[in-house]
Amino acid sequence: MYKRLCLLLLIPLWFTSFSIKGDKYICRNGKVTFFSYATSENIKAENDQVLSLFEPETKKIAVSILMRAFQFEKSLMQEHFNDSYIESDIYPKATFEGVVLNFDKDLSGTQTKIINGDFTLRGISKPIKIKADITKKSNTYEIIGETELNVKDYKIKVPQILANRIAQTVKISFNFKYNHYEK
Amino acid sequence: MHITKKAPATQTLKAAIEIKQTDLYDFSTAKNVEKLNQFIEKPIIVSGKISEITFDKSYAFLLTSEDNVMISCKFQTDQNHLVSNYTVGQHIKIKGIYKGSLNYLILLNCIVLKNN
Repeated sequence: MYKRLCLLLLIPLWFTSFSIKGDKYICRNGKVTFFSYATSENIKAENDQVLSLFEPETKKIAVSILMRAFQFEKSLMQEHFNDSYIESDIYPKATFEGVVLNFDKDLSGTQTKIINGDFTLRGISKPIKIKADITKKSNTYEIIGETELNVKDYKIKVPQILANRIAQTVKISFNFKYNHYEK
Repeated sequence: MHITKKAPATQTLKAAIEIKQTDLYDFSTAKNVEKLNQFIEKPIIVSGKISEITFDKSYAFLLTSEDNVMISCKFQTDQNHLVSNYTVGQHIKIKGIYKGSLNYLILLNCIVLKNN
């Protein structure tokens, strides 16, 4: 009993807001990529250790991103990202909680829908809308989409000397493949 | 130039800690996960039973310990030929860079070690 209780503590609190009745689908190797197109340098980083839960019945989706799992081509950029821009020691994770609008769980194939929700980065939550393709195949789901985030919205401080290397708006793309969540 | 330097290969790094399977549960409880914070961005050695295998340019294994603690390990691409023959259910010992945890521990740049 004590071990089960401790295991429950491992689950992020926001996952418990999901209804108990609905079937859940889990993705543990979700991919999130961000692109910064700036005049002096284009930066791309990828994180394929993203965790997400999707509940087709309630249309809820939750995402948890470990910021240190973003990988850059240049190790110095990765250091700057974690130590200066994100301050990953203080804000180790980014999260998203949202709902897929007008999603029909009984349809097979691909539906293009809007996901409304709150994205939290560096302790700051902002509402965002994401256009995504949701594909149901057998007992799996795949959700692919992209959005843009403004660096200033999350109080990410870019040193003046590096200002022309980081775009004001960063493009985010994601790809999550879900399997049925067996507890 | 140092600004274009890539991260060193995990083979060249000495592990900061080896977490045996019997100790893994202690490290994974909510209170003790913080103890692992001192090893973030450091190489650690873990072992467990493979419960899931995925491949996207390189392999990623989900390991599960006897206490149901999960560890996600993404391998370096130079390990593809070494890990491709592993199957679900086998035990494996891995060295990787500890990045933190979600509801499982996450290691990147992993290499396979000989299983004792």
